[in-house]
Amino acid sequence: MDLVWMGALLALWVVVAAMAAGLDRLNAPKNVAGGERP
Amino acid sequence: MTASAASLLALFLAALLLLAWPVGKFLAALCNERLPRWMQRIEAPLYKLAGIQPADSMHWLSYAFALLAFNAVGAIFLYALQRLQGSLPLNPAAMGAVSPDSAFNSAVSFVSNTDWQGYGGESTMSYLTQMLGFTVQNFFSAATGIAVAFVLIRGFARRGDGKSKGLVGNFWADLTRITLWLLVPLSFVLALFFVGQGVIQNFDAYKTVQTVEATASAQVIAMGPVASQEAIKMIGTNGGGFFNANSAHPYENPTALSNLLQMIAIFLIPAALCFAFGRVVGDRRQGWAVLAAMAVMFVAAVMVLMPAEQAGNPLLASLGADQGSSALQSGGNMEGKEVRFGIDASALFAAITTAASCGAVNAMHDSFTPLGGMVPMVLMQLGEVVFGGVGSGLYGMLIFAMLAVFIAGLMIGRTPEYLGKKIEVREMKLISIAILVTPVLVLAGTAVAVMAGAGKAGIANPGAHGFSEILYALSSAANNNGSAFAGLSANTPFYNGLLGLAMWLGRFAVIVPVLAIAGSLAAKQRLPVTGGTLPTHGPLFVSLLIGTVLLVGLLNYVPALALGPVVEHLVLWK
Repeated sequence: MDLVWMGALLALWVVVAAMAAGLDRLNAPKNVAGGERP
Repeated sequence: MTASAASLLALFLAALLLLAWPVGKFLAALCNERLPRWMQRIEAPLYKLAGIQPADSMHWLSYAFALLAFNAVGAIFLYALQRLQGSLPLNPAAMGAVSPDSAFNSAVSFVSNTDWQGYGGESTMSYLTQMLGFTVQNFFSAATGIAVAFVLIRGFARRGDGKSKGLVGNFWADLTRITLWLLVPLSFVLALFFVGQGVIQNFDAYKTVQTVEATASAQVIAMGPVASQEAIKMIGTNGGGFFNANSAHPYENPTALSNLLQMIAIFLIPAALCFAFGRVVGDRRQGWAVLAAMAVMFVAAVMVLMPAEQAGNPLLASLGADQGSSALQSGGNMEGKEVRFGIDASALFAAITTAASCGAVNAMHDSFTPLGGMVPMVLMQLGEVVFGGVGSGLYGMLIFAMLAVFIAGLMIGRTPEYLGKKIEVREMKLISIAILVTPVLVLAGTAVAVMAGAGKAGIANPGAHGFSEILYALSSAANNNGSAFAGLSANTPFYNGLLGLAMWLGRFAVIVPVLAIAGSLAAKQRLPVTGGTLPTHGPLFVSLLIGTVLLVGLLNYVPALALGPVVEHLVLWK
């Protein structure tokens, strides 16, 4: 049973780590230094 | 509200402001990484030992991976400690290994700053597990939350140019400084104060005594190192009690004064972080505005909760029970409350512990009136932003502030900006994720629990109250509060797994997008204030912020609340 619950811990970690990696690619930030104000 | 209730609330708020101001000043120095030289000298060997360069600022993704790795190691260590405690020292009550599912739940619970407890502390955990496991994680999980708040504040404060463009700070340095210079000193002082009030701190074996009733069976009185855990439990908005009864236990919370200090300790860092925020972004009014929004919602909640409990139970009134307040009794609904605290201190404690993501309790929320029980539930469901947890309350509220300026921008037709940083497509996508993670976990989790046989098996009371028990548990877990409505038998593989999932994702699946937002903001230049900039420090913005928090919360949860506490209230008062 320990392997099951330790595996669950690992799986949860993988989910948030994958989320972090995915969000890094989400609309890569643009440099708005020269952006015009509306 | 009675005069004594109003006086207690006023005293609490005055003491809180007085203490939070200097702590906020120090937090700003921590966030700005401007520590006195003597502190740096003490830190230096620690960094050298760990091979860390504290001045090396990280990209948000590196920061996130460091944070996740640190917390994962903490969870695995905590799991192993619980499973092996039977073979380890400091176990005078000879506690055996914790079951695997309960160990999983508790490991996630304490790492995520939730401190949901499916177990009874004095009947399950050894002193070593309580100290080396739970108390240590109380420090680290609190430090993690504050570190994330620091990162978001830096995202706003940094100019977005030069070498530090897009960099948000060093996780290891933040963790070390927050723990070493903030949490440990505050907890040490508070623990000494608690000992002075009668909170126990020892390694004795449990004592067997003959009760005054002189019944045949003797009573076993649990001992342990309680005060040291109690202090960080409150200061770090953790909430996990040494004993099952938590702060209702006389060894955890012996006097009215200790009760007042516990309440102040819960709000101290969340309030101080608002002041720190204003200082670091260079406009103290911004911090006051966020604090004002939190305070208004908190006072409104207290003004519903206290009278609801003071009104008592109409069914008892119909039986002729005296529920009026007098010199001899608190009156009102005293079921599940300590006589020594009465209605006022119990109801105020309940509002504070659920407005902040603490979860310590000095009364059983399950026994509150339906309306009184709904207030703590709603405070959690608002996303733990009414002061909230240490760090998580501020970063949660700042997420709502960005949503508020976005909505205001839509209304007046301008690109939204907050503190000189434009809020664009990427930020809005991340804000949406950060806000929607917890409602999805709460509502989907509740739906699964009420449909599954294993979920329904845990309900103690049938009907609307039983639904409230489940809704409260998921709200508490996903929002990292940790208080329990009681009644629900949650120490089962089903609930340990489901609530563990909710706690982990409710914590880290929110932290990750918040860090991403911070990284994005840190890469942007600060725009100067112009005549077209929406002021974010005045009453108009405070109202807009409160409206945004309430709108999101109510849209998410009104249907679920209608099935639980609202139905129960209507049935009770029909």
